[in-house]
Amino acid sequence: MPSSTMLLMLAVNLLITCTVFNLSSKLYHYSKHFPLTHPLILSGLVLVALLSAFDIAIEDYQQNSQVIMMMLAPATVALGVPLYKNLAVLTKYKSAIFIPLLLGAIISPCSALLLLWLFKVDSSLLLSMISKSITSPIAIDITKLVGGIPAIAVIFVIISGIIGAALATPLFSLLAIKHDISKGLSLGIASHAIGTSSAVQISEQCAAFAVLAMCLNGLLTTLVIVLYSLF
Amino acid sequence: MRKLSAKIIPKLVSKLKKLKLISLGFCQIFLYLLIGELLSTLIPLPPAIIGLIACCGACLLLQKVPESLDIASSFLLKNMAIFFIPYVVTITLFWPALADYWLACLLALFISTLITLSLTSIVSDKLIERAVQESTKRSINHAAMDDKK
Repeated sequence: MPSSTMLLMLAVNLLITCTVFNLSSKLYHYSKHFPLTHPLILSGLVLVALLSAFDIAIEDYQQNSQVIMMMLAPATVALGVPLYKNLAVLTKYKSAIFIPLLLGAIISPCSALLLLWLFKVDSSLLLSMISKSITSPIAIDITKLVGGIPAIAVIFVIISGIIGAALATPLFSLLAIKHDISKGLSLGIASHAIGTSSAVQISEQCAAFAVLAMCLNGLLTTLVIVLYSLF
Repeated sequence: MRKLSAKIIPKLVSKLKKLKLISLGFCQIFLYLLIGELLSTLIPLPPAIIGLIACCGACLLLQKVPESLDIASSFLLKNMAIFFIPYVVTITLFWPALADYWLACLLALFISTLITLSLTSIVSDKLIERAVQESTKRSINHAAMDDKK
């Protein structure tokens, strides 16, 4: 393919993805944060429908959206700024943060594994489920270590991220969660970077604690799995 | 004509200034990413996470967030969800691999995420509430002691 058409394809791809996302965020706003209309779910569905309507292979779409996918790394780096801004609050509440973090890191994979075991699901899927609440680059490594299937682990990671992001707003108002710190922590633990992206919408403090929870959860789980695989 | 230019030029200048700041901020972010990329050969962590820590560490050293970095990072974070969309769409590529188990997996993910979200948020909310109360009590005690003096 000549490079000029490729550039055009990239631009068109970027434009369409952003437009679909913007429209679905507007709809999400109008529907008063109804979980099923979360922008990630809605725009994902719309894009898949569009691709199949115009007979475009999903592989082609993926090829042309490399630019968008690549921007995720600098966005993750940018999360360092809210983290720095909230370091003072973080050191103030460090004892109140550590316990829920540990609890979440244990409960999240264990509850999923227990449920899958109850549903009598294949063991390779069980192994891919362990890393479901961890940000995807770390999750891939962990899944390789325990002998699961990385591609399926990534699906689980993304889906649990979307579920967390979509459920967060109604769930927090139902449970009457007062502090943005707790909202951020639970979002970061349960749904890693996707949860963090919706924590950014709540407040900067919420984002900072989501980042913290995401990173510490990843580190903690990696440590446990590495130690386990050594013995 | 002159009126029009008097209106437009300052606007243009401020836009350009913002553009300059944002590109400067992006340079910094990519620098941290490069650091992460280099260090990831030594540390078993993804480059973006090391970059995040490097970014936070640099702010700690400077004792402030540079304005350029602040603008660039808030721009990226505001639009962070968009960067996940291609990944969401590619789920459909691997979906058939789940075959007969997709409903069980979806249900397990849903329930476990719900449990994790609610438990951690409730527990941390209780703990933070207690910490806040203790600190206010302590400050009241301090105030009382100061009064006695």
